[in-house]
Amino acid sequence: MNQTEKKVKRKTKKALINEIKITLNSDSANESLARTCIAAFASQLDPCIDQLADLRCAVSEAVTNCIVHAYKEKKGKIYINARMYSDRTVSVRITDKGCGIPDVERAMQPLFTTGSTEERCGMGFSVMESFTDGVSVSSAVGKGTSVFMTKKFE
Amino acid sequence: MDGLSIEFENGQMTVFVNCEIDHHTASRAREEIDGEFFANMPHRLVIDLTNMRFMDSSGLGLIMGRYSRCLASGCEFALYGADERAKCILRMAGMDKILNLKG
Ligand SMILES: Nc1ncnc2c1ncn2[C@@H]1O[C@H](COP(=O)(O)OP(=O)(O)OP(=O)(O)O)[C@@H](O)[C@H]1O
Ligand SMILES: [Mg+2]
Repeated sequence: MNQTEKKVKRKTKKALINEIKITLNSDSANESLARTCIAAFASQLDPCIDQLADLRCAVSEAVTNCIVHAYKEKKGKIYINARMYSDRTVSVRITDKGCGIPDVERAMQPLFTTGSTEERCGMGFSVMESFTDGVSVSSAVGKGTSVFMTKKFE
Repeated sequence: MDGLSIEFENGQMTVFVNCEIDHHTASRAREEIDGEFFANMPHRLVIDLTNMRFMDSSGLGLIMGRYSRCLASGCEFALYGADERAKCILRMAGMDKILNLKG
């Protein structure tokens, strides 16, 4: 790629227009708080109701997983960082410092669950994937997990 | 529980969900529905989602759990009023083939 092409690329790069960071305790009452906050943030793009509801649901899944799986009976913090870009995309990163996932690929398969109590059906990651434009997960056993999702609001 | 109302008529138990169902609310809802279910042993259980404002996979777990409870005790099960997003989640788990998603 020559110099001019590089310049064009840099110019069309999406710009960060807003950002929010939230730290929450791993209490189940915070599940609705978290999804409501992120939906309110994304509302600045004046998105259609359905797409906003998709994001709300995906955030709820990731935050619930921190509480149910990452920290279990223990208490910990959930870190949420959402960014809004000029191309009408919103990215959300949800991070915990919990138990981590030994095999991420396997964990993301539909119906896979390690949940024994309550009624988990192993569909959280599938919901995140179908209600956003992309989900990526990085995790280290004993250190924690980070889920990154993006959604474009048409 | 606020957001949940339960009615009985001719052996049918109908649960109206008027709140958001997530992991936080699902456990309370489960306790209440199962409590009423075993106290009354209906021959048909209907869960009506018409006024449900939100559900995620915890809602799916709640529905699948009540469905299998019905299956185990020979009770008929029906789900009403699922919106498009709820239907989408139910479809992901193959529940659309089992339940006939009415309304
Ligand atoms: N933040 C996390 N920390 C540790 N393990 C996790 C985390 N998120 C997910 N997992 C693991 O991945 C599995 C699959 O997660 P997923 O959300 O798809 O299903 P689930 O939570 O088990 O059930 P459901 O979401 O349908 O109630 C979990 O059972 C758990 O083992
Ligand atoms: Mg989950």
